[in-house]
Amino acid sequence: MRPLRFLTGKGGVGKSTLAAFFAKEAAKAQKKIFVATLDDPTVISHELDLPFENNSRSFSLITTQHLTPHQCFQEYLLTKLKFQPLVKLVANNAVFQAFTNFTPGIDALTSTGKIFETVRGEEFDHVLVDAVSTGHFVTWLNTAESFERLIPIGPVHRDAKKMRTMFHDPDITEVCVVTLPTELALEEAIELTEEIKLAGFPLGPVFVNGFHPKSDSTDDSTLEGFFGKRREQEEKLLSHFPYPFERFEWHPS
Amino acid sequence: MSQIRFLIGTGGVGKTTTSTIVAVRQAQDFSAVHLLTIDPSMRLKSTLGLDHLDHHAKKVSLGGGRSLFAHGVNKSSGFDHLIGRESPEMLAKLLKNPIYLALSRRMPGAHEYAAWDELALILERDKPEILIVDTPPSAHLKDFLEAPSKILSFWEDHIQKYFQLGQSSHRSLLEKSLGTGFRVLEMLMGKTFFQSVVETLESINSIKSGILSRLRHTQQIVMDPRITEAWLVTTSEQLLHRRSPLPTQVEGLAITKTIINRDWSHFSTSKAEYGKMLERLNQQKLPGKIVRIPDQVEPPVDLSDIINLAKSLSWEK
Repeated sequence: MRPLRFLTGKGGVGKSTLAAFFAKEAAKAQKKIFVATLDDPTVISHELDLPFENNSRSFSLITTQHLTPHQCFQEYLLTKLKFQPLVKLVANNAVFQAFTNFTPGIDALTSTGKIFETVRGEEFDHVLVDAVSTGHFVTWLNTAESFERLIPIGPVHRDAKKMRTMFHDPDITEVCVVTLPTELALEEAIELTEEIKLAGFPLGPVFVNGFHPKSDSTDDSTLEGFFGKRREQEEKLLSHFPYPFERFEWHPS
Repeated sequence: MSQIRFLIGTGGVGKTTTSTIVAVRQAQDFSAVHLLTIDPSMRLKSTLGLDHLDHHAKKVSLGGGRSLFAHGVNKSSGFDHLIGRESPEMLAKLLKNPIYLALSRRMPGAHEYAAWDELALILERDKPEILIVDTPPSAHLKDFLEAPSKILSFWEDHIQKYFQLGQSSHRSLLEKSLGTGFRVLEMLMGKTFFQSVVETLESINSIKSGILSRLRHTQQIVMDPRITEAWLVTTSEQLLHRRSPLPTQVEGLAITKTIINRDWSHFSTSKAEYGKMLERLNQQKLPGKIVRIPDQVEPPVDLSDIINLAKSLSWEK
């Protein structure tokens, strides 16, 4: 795992479950890991058996945080204004809130900014991000670049440039697509991977989640026979898959 | 009056395929069934055998004299339609404004605004008997349902009064109301960028009443429980992994059907482990009427598969 790993893919493919798995693996290897989710934290919180709150919380090797726009924005302002009461005063101004709410991309800029700062702080061996789903991911990770182009000077321009550089650096960053072993999902994973490549972000392995259990039964009126046939189809589909991938099997529990 | 059905559920349950099956099933009972997909991946077209899908209704013939109409939201120009219909001159001007282009295209959120406009347009122009809406996955469903309120409250509670005052310069009015926040925004974004955002908002503000009344109208129609119902799409596999009971409503809309896609209830098993699993599935309490789409070794790939599957559904009106 590189210092910064993003997990993306369509909703429901098991990004949060895999994020929890990688976090446990890292901790087993005595690595310090920061796990951030932008999604509903219920699943990842359950899988890791750790709370994900708006503020970061450390539990020995694993640190967790649910990245919400409001919190990220306050943290970002604090790095610029360096004075907590002033941050509160500004961030709680109703017009200011409305303005930042409406200027699309501010949410994305501050959440990617928070991730950038965490990696730059070098407090952790790995930063793992359970990120937004297909169709929004590239736009989201590209926000820094958009702002860099839109804002010609000033602190946001400088930060955006540094963020863009980090997110494109293959020694630091990897974007891992999570998908399912179905034709539709794999097609979408290929589209998304091409989109990520086109935007110039470094790719990590694709994680194919939810393989059905193998079975000796061939009677497809039974559940086991049906699962067995599904597994054969899944293996056949993956034999044509154009990128390096890792398998994760589904368990009937 | 049109009836609206939002198909909701997390990604990976086959929502787009299910929406198509459901729309085809509805087309047996109604003559003007429209299907709108708001998923950015626009998966619908491959299932329907169309090579192009945009805001214009595409007629899909289902055989036996039945048909349905498919629509998609065009990500790159939805916001433009919204403004262009109010003022083509304004649109031409804004299309040269880099801030506007960024706001309307590159940034998250613009897509939801466009989708609402699309919904309004279909209701107004096509007058469907039934409009089936294939929504984006649930994390974004909330964004989707909140988008009109976000725009409305922004204008009504905040920006409107500053622009209404008129005489003094906008800059000083914004400066006053934002207080310290004004200088912080200016410092962070640079004077030029911040001014451009204000100018873009000003331009849009000048044509806002048409857009706002349309949004308000659509929101009123759509969020009316007499017209709109939510249908939950799930799968047997997902139901097994659920740890909490299923919701009975979403954002104030009642869930009146649970559609189990890739349903396993027709399978038998000789493995104790799987037997327990099937039993657990049968005991689940599900909201609304239940529709089961059986899981098959060969899933539906084209329109004729979809039509056959739709005919076999046990479906209560």
